[in-house]
Amino acid sequence: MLEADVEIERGSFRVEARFASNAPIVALFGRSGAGKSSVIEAIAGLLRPRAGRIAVGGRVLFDAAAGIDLPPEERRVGYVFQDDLLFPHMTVRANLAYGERLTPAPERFVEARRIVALLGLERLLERRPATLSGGEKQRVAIGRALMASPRVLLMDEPLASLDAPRKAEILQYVELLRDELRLPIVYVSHAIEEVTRLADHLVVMAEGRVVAEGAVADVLSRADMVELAGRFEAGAVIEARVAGHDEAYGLTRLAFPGGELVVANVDALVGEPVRARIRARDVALALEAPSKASFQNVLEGVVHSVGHEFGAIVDVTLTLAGGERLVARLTRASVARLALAPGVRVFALVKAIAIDRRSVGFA
Amino acid sequence: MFDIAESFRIALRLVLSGDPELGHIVWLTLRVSIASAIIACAVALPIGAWVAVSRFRGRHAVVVAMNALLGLPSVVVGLVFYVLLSRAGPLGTFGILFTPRAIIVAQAFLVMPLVAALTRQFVEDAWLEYRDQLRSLGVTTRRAVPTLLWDVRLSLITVALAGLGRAASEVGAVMIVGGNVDGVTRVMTTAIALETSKGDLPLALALGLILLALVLALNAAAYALREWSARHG
Amino acid sequence: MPTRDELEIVALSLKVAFWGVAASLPLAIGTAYVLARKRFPGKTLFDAVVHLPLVLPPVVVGFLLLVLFGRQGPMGRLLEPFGIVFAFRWTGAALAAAIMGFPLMVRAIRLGIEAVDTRLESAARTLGARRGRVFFTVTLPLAWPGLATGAVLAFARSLGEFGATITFVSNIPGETQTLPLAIYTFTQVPGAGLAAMRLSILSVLLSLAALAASEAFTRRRGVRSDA
Repeated sequence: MLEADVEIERGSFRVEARFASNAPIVALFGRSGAGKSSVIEAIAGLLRPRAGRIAVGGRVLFDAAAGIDLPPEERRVGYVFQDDLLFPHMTVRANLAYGERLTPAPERFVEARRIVALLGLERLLERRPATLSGGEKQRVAIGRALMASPRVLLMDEPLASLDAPRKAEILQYVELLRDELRLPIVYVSHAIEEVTRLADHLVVMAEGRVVAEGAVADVLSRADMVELAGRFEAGAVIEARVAGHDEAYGLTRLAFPGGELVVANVDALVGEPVRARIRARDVALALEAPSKASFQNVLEGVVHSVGHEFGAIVDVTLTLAGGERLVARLTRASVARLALAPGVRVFALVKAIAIDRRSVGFA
Repeated sequence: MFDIAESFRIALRLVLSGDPELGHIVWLTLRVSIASAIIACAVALPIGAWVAVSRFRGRHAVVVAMNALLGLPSVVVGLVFYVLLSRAGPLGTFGILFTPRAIIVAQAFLVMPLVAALTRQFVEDAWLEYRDQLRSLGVTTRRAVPTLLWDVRLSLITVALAGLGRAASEVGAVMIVGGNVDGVTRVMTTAIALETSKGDLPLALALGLILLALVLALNAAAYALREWSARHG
Repeated sequence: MPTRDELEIVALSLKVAFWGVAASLPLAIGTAYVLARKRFPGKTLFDAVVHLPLVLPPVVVGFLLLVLFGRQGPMGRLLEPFGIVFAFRWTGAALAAAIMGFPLMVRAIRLGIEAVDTRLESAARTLGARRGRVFFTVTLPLAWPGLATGAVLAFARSLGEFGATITFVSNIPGETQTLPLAIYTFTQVPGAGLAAMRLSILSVLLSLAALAASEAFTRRRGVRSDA
C-alpha cells in the first residue's frame, strides 16, 4: 500500500499531490514539468517536502507533523533513473551487488540469480557500463535497484532516453517484473502508450497538482483527459482476454463483455488478459451496422456524451454493451449530420489495423 | 626568541618611526621588483598573446613548456644566472653579479613564465569569444592581437600586478645572485630570512608586515580591478 | 654519478616532500569536498584563506610558521609533550612544504570532485549507502584523477620550496637541507659550483617528471568524465 500526500516547493514551483494505491503498478502521468519527478524524488527521500506524509506498506517514511524524515538510505526504495546512473568505475556485477551488500541479510528477499536471469544480464556481468548499449544499461539499472531488496520500485521515465526498439524491449521487462515479483512499482512517464500498457492505477498530474486518479480504463476515457493527454493522444482502454488466433490471416480475437475485438496478431496465449488501447481518431461512428465495409470491429453502444470542441473536431464518448467506454473523434459536421446526442444508439467502427502491437499490453 | 608581543611592539615602532635601515630595504625591494616586473611584462606579454592566437604544430608542446617553466625551482634559475654572471661565466664581463641589476635580471626571468601563462589564458578566452566577429570583419590574426590586448587591458593589469607580487616575494634566486649584501642587495625577503636565522625577530617582523601589506595590497587591487571590469566590461 | 652526500640530500628532499603531501592529503580532501559540495556562510572567506599560501611570499609563511610552531610558539609548546617537534627538524620542512602545496592540492582535488555527477551519489544513497560510504565508494574513486594531480603538483612544489623552509627551519645539513637549500649553500661555498649544478639538474629532472605525471593524470580525467 503506497500512500503519498506531499506539498513540495521548488523555487517558485509548487507541487501538491495526494494519492494512495494498492495496485501493482501506479503510474504518474503528465506532461513534462507537471511535477511528477518531484513527487518521486520526495518518496525516495532525495527531496524534502514542506509538509505531508509518505508511507509504504504501512511504514512511514516521511511525516512532517510527526517530525519523521528517513534519509534515502533507510527508506528501502529502489530507484531507476532516466539516465541509468550506473557507477562507471564498477563492473556490472559490482553495480548489481552494491545495494545487495548494503541490505542486511534477513531483509534480502531478492535472489541474484533470478534477477540476472529475468533481465538477461548473464553475458554482461563482467563488462563496464561504458561498453553497454542504452537498453542494456537500463536493464542493469533495474537489476541494481531490485538487488537491494526494495519495498517499492520507483521508475522515473526509464524509457525516455531510449530509442523505439529499446523502449519496447524494456517495456516488456517491466511487464515481466510486475508479473513475476510481488513488488509495488511507481512508474513515472509522459508517454501515454507506456502508461496504458503498464498501469493499473493512474495518477494524472498537471501543473503541480493531481487532476485525475483511478483505474486506468476509467481515467483515460474521461472527456477532460483529452486536454491532459494531448490532442492526438485521446483514446480509451479496453480490458479483454485473448479468445483465439486466426493463423491464416494473422489476426487475434480479444473478447470482452461488450463484444469482441479483432486485432493484428498478438503474441499471447488464449485466455491471457490484455489491455487494448484504441485511439479516438481511429474510431468512426455509424447509426447502423455497415454490411459491406472493411471494418473488422463493429461494436454496439450508446452515446454517453458529446465533448470538447476543437475547431472542426469533437470527441464523442460512448458506452459499449458491457459498460466499457470508447472515445470517437469526429467532425462537428458529422455529429450534426447524424444528430448524435447522449442516449443515441450507435455502432463504433474500428479498423483492426489501428490496434497494433504497440497498443496492446498485458495486464 | 623572546616575547612575540614585545617583538611586535618594537616592530611597529620601527615601521612607524621610519627607521632608515628599514626604509632602505623596502625602497630597494620596490625598485628591483618594479623593474623586473616591467621587463617581464614587456617580454612575456606579447609572447603570451601570440601563443594564445596562433595555431601551429607543436603549439601544445609550447604551452606545456610554458607551464613547465612555471614549476622551475627558483634556486635553479638563480644558480643558472649565478654561473652566467660570475667572472668566469659568459656574461661575467658586465660585472653585475651581487648587484641589484643581477637581481632584476634573475627576477624578470622568473616572472616571465607567470606573465606569459596568465596572458595566454586571458587572451585565449577573449580570442575564442571574438574570433568569429573579427574574422568576419576581415581582421587577420596578427592584426587581431593589439585589439585583443586592448580589450583585456584590465586583466593585463592584474597580470602585471601578479608579476609584481611574485617578484617581490622571490627569495631563492635573489639570495644566490644578489648575495644578500647589506645595503646593496638586501631586499625584504632576504633580510627576513637573514634576521630570522640571526634570531632578530623585531626587524624580521617589521619587514614581514610591510611585505605582507604590499602583497595583500597588490592582490586587493587586482581583485578590485576584476570586480570593476566585470561590472563595466 | 651522484656522490653519497648528494644522494642524501635528494633522499631528504623526497622524504620531506612525500610526508608533506601524505600528511596533508586527508585534510586537503576534506577541504576540497567542503568547497565543492557544501554551501555555508563565509565560504568565500574560507576559500581565500585556503589560497593564502599561494598569495603570500614564502618567507612570510615561513616566518608565521616560526612564530606559531617554533620552540616558543603556542602550537610548538602544545605539541612538544607529544613528541611532535617541528623547529629545526625535517618535520618542520615537511610542514612548510605541506602548507605551501596545500592550495594546489585543494584546487586540483576540488575540480576532481566537482566532476563527479551528484546524481550518482543520490543513486548510491537510494541503494542504502550512508553519506560516508557514498563518499568512499563512489565520489572518491571517481575523483581520483584530481587527487593524483593534486598530490603530484604539491609534491613538485615542495621539491622546489625554498623561502618558507629556510626561514622556518633554517639550513641544517642532513636535517632540513633540502635540494633547493643545498643548491643555495653550494653557491656560497667557493669551488662547489659543480656540485650545485649537478643538484640543479636533478632538481629540474624531478620537476619535469612531476609535470609529466600531472599532465598524464589531467588527460586521464578528461577521458573518465565522458565515460
